[in-house]
Amino acid sequence: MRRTFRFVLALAVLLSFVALSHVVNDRNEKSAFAQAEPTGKLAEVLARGYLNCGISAEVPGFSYLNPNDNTYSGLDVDFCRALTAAIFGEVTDTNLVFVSLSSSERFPALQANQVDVLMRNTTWTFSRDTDLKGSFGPTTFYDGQGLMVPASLGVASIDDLNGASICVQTGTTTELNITEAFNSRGFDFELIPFDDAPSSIIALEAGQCDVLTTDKSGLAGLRSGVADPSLYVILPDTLSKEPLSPMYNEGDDQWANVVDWTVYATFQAEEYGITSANIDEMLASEDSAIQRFLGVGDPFNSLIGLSNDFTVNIIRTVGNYGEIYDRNIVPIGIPREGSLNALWTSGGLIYSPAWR
Amino acid sequence: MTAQSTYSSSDDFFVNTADLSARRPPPRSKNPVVLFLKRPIVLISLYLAYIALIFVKWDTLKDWLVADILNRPASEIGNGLEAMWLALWVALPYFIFSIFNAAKIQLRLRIPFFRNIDFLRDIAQVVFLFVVVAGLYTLALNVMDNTQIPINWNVVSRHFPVEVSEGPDFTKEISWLKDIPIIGNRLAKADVLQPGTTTRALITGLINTLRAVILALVFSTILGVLIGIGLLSNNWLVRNVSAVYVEIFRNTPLLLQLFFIYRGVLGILPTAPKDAYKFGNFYLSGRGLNFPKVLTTDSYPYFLMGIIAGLIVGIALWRWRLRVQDETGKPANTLIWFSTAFFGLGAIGLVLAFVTGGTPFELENPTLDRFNFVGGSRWSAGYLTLVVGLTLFTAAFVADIVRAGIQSVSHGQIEAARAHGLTSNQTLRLVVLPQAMRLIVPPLTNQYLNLSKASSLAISIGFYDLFNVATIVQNQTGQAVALFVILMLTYLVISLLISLLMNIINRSLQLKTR
Repeated sequence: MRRTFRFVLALAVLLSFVALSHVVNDRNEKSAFAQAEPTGKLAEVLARGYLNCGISAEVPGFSYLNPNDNTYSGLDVDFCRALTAAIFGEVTDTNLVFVSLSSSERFPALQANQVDVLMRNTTWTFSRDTDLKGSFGPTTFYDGQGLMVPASLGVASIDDLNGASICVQTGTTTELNITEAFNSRGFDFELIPFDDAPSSIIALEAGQCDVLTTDKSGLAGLRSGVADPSLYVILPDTLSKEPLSPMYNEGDDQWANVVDWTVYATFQAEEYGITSANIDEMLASEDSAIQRFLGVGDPFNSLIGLSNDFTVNIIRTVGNYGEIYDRNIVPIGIPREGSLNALWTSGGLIYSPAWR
Repeated sequence: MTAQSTYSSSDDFFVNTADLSARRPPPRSKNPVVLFLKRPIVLISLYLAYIALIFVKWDTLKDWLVADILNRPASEIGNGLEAMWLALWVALPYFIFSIFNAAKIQLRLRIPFFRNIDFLRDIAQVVFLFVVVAGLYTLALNVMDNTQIPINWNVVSRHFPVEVSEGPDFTKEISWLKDIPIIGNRLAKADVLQPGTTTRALITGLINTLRAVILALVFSTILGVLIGIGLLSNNWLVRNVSAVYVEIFRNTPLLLQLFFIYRGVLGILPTAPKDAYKFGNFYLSGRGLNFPKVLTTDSYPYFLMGIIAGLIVGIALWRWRLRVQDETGKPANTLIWFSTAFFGLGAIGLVLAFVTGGTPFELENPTLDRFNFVGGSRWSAGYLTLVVGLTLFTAAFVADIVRAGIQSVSHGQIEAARAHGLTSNQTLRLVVLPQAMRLIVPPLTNQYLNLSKASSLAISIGFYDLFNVATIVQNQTGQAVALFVILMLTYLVISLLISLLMNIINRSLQLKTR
């Protein structure tokens, strides 16, 4: 009796080992690339069912709430859409919430987890990366600080501006740069700080300041919004580097990957010539690099913790970087040709790491 | 007499032991140490010191005050539990103290602790203390754990990288700082007070806030009183214009009014300095008011001495005339006597100054530069808007408070005053206002507090007040918690100072009954 029991026990143990190894084998066979489990912020967003995306909603070309039909548009808005499509597969009425933030509200909002990501023409700086405990994704727009003056003043460059009153948006890098630029020239100047872009352009129009300073793209956007743009000129001087990048809290590598590679996907798609129009043809492409990028075949893309076709979803929703640029930035009068924002193959800085 | 009879005199179930103790005083200790420790101030100080110790050293104390007792590693103790234990340790001495007191009363006066109202009150205090400390500390721990807001108080000694174009220049050394007796040298060497630091920028912001608030307080009071009296005027036009003013300014948001003044009123003024409206050497434009700056010269002290002497002599004469009026009933005419002395001696000082060293004042006129005026003094558009906006808004409330105060004085008083032959001016000044003031001052304090806090709306009109500067710091450094705590404390101190001042005034106006 006892012997029989031992035998049965040994058999059971043996059988269970076989079964276990079978299960393990089975799993390995199912996926050559194990999909990463969503953790941290990504899991939180998936569970919540929508993405909180911090934008400004006040800068034409970047993020702008159209007062006529209550729709958001702009480069930053499109990257919010791209990220939503990457996470949820598509953008619906309910899975993307735009949180409109002033320049002074944005960092506390991010730190307090009120937004998951800032797509709010935020300059990537050393102190924000370290002191603010933020992290930056790939630069989506290379900008520089500029100066806009009424054409009637007859000012040719910053060196003519000694004694001027300058409207500036508070809480931005621009108020630091303008202080430095004028102090280094030994100029007298008066800063008039405003919390948002519309207030500052209204003050310039009312003549309460002589100069409006912000990123050149922002100036172009604001200039396109005034009644008669020809009354204002943007001076040729560029005061600073303003690489505008997505920002998120540091310490969550998976979330960082999701945001970063969403942006890179738009770069890479342009490099491969994939657009929202030809995506269906491209899915049938024989090119193995394009197949890998679009998640055809091996579930290679799911390594990031998203579905294997997240790149397809991004391109279907917003198109590649070139499309996003043409749709949003060209209308406010900033050509892409020859600028830093051209694709690296055309001499610009838009460059995705290798997709392999 | 049985023990029962000591407290059966009261019908209430609860007994106030202070009454009984007064009838049967406890035996007094002769020991000087015990006497010293029993003084309330000593007890409270000891307790506060204990609480401070708990809070400051909590990081090390919690290992054996919480973790050891619960026999769990400190890392496994949740925020709520940790906060409750902290609150427990904070409240414990009070709890023991109240039990000790209740036990003494029970032994000496035979009052059971559940009927001892002092003990029950103490326990309520202990529970309140526990809940408040535990709640606040849980919140604080959650802020530190669940958000990624870094907290660094040293941010105030950093270099402040932005220009503040209003108020005293924070990048210049404060020359008079080292002349302060005793602590001056140390202050001058303090890191946070060096030129260009964030603290100095915040101080500049604070001065800007105070400049606007004080001026608005004075103007809104004057305007409010005038309109308040206007509300009760017999003149139809004055009465209705005042009423319309009050309703409009009281029933629209202050922010809207500020925008209206900044963009609507100042916005339609010519903005280019060369087109500014010119009144003598005063220039008003959409960018603000430029006016001559008064500079003092070497002979200025003579004039100053004349003014001070005039003030002293004037006040002495004022009091002397009041005494004469009290004793003889002759009219005091205080104002005439005072102004004769003040202006007379001031004029003598002025003449003396001219004789010894020429004019005591010089004016520095603003002159037109390419973009703006240079030289002279300047009230920026933001400052003008803030002062005017706060004044107009608060004056509407003040007016209604004044009207209510005046109407609260019984009409019989006015009739009696008129029957005594007082003129309507005298009736208002001597009978109505002194009684009305008692009702006016407390609600007025609230309006003044509102005004001082509403000054933070300046950020919307580009004025560098305290809130605006702090916002800049917070943005450039990310230290939202640190800056907001500093801001809250500063506004709290401003509010408390205004309250204190108004309470002193209120007390001096109360009926002195004997």
